[in-house]
This record gives sequence, C-alpha cells and structure tokens, in this order.
Amino acid sequence: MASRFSILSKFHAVARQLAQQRGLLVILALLLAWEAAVRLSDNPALVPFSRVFAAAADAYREGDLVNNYLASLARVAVGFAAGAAAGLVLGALLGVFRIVDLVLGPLLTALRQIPIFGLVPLLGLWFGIGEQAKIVLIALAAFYPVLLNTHEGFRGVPRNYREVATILMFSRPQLLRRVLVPCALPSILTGLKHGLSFAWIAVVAAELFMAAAPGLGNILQAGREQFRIDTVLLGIVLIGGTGALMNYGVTLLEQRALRWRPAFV
Amino acid sequence: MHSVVKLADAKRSPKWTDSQTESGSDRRFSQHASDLVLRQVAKAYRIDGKRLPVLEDINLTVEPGQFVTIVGASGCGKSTLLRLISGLERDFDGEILVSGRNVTGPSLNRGLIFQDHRLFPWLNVEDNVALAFESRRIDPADKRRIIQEHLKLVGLTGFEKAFPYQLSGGMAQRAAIARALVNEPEILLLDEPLGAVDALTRLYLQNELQRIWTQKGVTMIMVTHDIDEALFLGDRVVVLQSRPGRVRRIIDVDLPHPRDREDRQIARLKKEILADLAGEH
Repeated sequence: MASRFSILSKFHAVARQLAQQRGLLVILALLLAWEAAVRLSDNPALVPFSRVFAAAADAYREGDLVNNYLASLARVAVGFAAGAAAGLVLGALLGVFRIVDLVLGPLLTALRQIPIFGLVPLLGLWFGIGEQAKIVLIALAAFYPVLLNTHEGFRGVPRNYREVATILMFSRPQLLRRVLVPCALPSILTGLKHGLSFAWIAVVAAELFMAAAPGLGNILQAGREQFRIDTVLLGIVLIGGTGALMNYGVTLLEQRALRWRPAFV
Repeated sequence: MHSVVKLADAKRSPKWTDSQTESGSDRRFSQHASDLVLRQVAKAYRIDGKRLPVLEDINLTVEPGQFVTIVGASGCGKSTLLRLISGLERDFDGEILVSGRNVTGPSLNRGLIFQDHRLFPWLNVEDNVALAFESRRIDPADKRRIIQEHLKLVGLTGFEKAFPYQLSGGMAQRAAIARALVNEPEILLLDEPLGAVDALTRLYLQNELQRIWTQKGVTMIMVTHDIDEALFLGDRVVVLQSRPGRVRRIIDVDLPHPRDREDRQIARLKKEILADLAGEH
C-alpha cells in the first residue's frame, strides 16, 4: 500500500515538473514533428533534425566547433561590455543632469534613427573589416538600448522620492546611491537585457558581413559554401540557444535584484 | 499608562510652560519640542506669468508639545503651508521661526509625513526607517536599537523584513511615521497622513497618533480635511479659507485627551467650522 502511494506521489511529482516545463515541451514536440515530417517526405532541401547532432559531432571532431563558439562568445563579451558601459554612464548623465539632456539629447535621438547595419560600410572605412570593426559594431548595438533605458530609468524617478531624500537631508551621492540608482534599476536591467540581445544579433551579422574569422558566422558560411544544410542549421541552433540562455541569465539576475517587486515573487 | 496620562496633563497646564527649565521630569519636553512662529507668511505661484496667491497673511504661534490641526477645503494651501514649514519649499514671503531661528531649508529637527507613505519599495521596513540616519553619523548598535524601539512604538515589531508591497496602507503609514520619528524631531509635520486609509483604520490610527504624541512629547502639526479628526486630535484647530489660503479662525479645544468623539462641545465646534467652510461654496 505504502509503496503504491509513493509511486503515485512520484508520478505526481514528475507530472508537476513537466507542467512547469511546458514551454520546453512545445519546443520538443515541434522538433519531433519536424523529424517526422522530413522522414515522411523526400525533399533533399530538408534534413531531419537528428542530422544537426551529426553535424555538431563532425564539427567537433574537426576541432573548430569549440573555437568558433568561443570566438563569438569572446566577441560579444568585449563588445557588450564596452557598449553597455558607455550606455550606462551616458544614460545616467542624461537622466540625472538636465543640462546634459538638453545639450546631447537631440544629437543622440538623431543618430538613433540610423539602422545599425547601415553603419557597416562606414565602420569598414574607419576601422577596416577586421576584429576592431566587429567589436565597434557590437558595442554600438549594445549601446543604444542600454542608453535609452538607463536614461528613461533615471528620468522617471518620481519627485516624491526625491522629496523624501531632501527631507532626510541626503547629500547628492546619497541621493544617487539610495534613491536614483535603485529606482532606475528595473529600467536599467531591461536595457541590459535588450542590449545583450542586440549585441548577440550584431555578432552574427558582423561575422557574416565582415572579414571571415573564427565564429558562429563562420559555421553558417561554411555550411552554405559546402551546401550542408545540417551545418547551417547547427549554426542557427547554437545562435538561438545561446541567445535564449543569455536572456534567461539576465532574467535570473533581474529576479534577484528586483525581488522587492510583487510581480517577481 | 498612568504616567503617560500625567504627561499629557502636564503639557496642557500653563504651569508647565513656566517651569519647564527647572523641572527635571519635564526635561524631555524641552529637548524634544520647540516653538514655532509664523509671521505674515505668504506664498504665490507664477502660472503663465500671472501671480497666483496660495497663502496670504498667515500668522500662527505653536507652543512646544502642542498638537495643532489645520483644516480647510482642498486647494486652500494647507499642504503648501506644511511644505514651507518643513523647508521643502524655500521661496515664500514672511518669516517662519523655529525656536527663534529662521527656517531656510529642511532639518532633521522637523519631520514630515506625506499622505502617501513614500516608503522606498526596494527596501524593507527596517531599511526604510534606517534611511532617516543616512545623513548623520551614528553607532550601528544605537541605530539598530533606535529602529527597534520605534518599530515597537508604531506597532510594527516583527515586520522588519517586510517589503512595502506586503504591508497594508495603514501599516505602511506607520512605518513612515517611524521613519519620521527616529531622529527625535522637535516638530512633526503630518500632511493628511490618514487621507488614504480606510475609515476603520483611520479611527484606529488617530488613537495611535495620539498615543505616540503623548509618548514622544513632540510638537505635531497635522493637515487634514476631516473636521472630526481635527477636533479629536487638536489642542488648537486652525481653520483655513480658500483662494488664497488665509486663517479664518483658530479654535482652542480645551478638552483633555483622549477625547470622547461624541462630546457635545466637539459637536458644537464641528457645526461652527462647517458653517465657516460652507460659506465658501
């Protein structure tokens, strides 16, 4: 009797786990449907999903999978760090000091209208098509979402909170540390999340449009040149999966930092 | 409780004001309460280049330890008056003197409580109260002890780690009261502090405010649009008329605390104030 209960409760536990992961289940189901559909048809342009694993194994054996992957990660890390840092500093200055907003705001708004990839030719002329140009493109991609959301966050601090700081005789650094930064933090984190997404998109674009170098873009290019659909798909899966993981990471960070918000509990 | 009642009695007796410096038992009052004088205070805003008077010719003297309530219709400038006394707004005509010294800006000696509690949502109750110590040096152990004492005073012991969104409106307002009191201000300014809580909580918090007032011996100046509240709590009730805000009259409510809400004198005064204010509409 007792063992039956425990089996039942185990079953429930598994069911609960599955219910929590229903988003993943949808992805799994789609992959299975893909696999089945491809096996049932005989179109050579379609490859079964399982071939992507085979392609990954091939690429790994040839030794360039890990190198390509790490190269892209390193690129996004450097580009994002530079762009986000600039966006944070400038966004904070714009949000805190009205004079900075008045002087630089219109210029930044005008520049923002230029699609980032429209800058590729200019970056090519200035920085060549090598590593430096790639990093600049990625940094620019990360820069604007971080800048805008940081600016928005600091500008949106309610006057009510500033008055509390005034009444409690805060100095300017205390106002910044105790009121402005924590109040702007949700918006800043949103900016970092978008900045990271944009930077990751820019990595792939840079690797495809600029000079060939180790990176996930390289895997895509190689796949196209060799007409290996499975290799191209491998590149896409790695790009998509890594992007999703990054997003998940920032969301976790957000939940930790913003646990004071009822929506995050 | 007995001693608390005695203190309240002592405060109203004129004898206390004369003897406060020599009487040892009353030292806490001379420490924690100071007098406030408003002379010819006026305030105007400029809207589209036109001068819009908000307050005019406000004269008021508040004795140390008094509970003064200010009533008036909305838009009579009563909140503005508190903002001037607190030092939040420095641009006005006339003089505001605390213990004989001009108010030129905020001071930890004057606490201000807003209608909305204005706790910072990213800090728990304890850390919100601790904000009041941000601008001074204080021993961490003293800080913890004082915060504990004041959370006990407002009845929030056990809620130290709660975030504002987890509190009811009344509890949040009590945390705000604790935040305003930890620096032992001489004057506590309350801007419709109970305006946003439900009727039952309101009655309860009125009693609580009265208890805190007697316990701390602090001068309280409270703005409200609720005449019952003004008469229940105030030693003096300042009736403001609107546009521009002027003192219509000042009523001394010569009844002991805690008061009976059904008291006949209170009912009579309420009728008079209502008649005063009704003339405006």
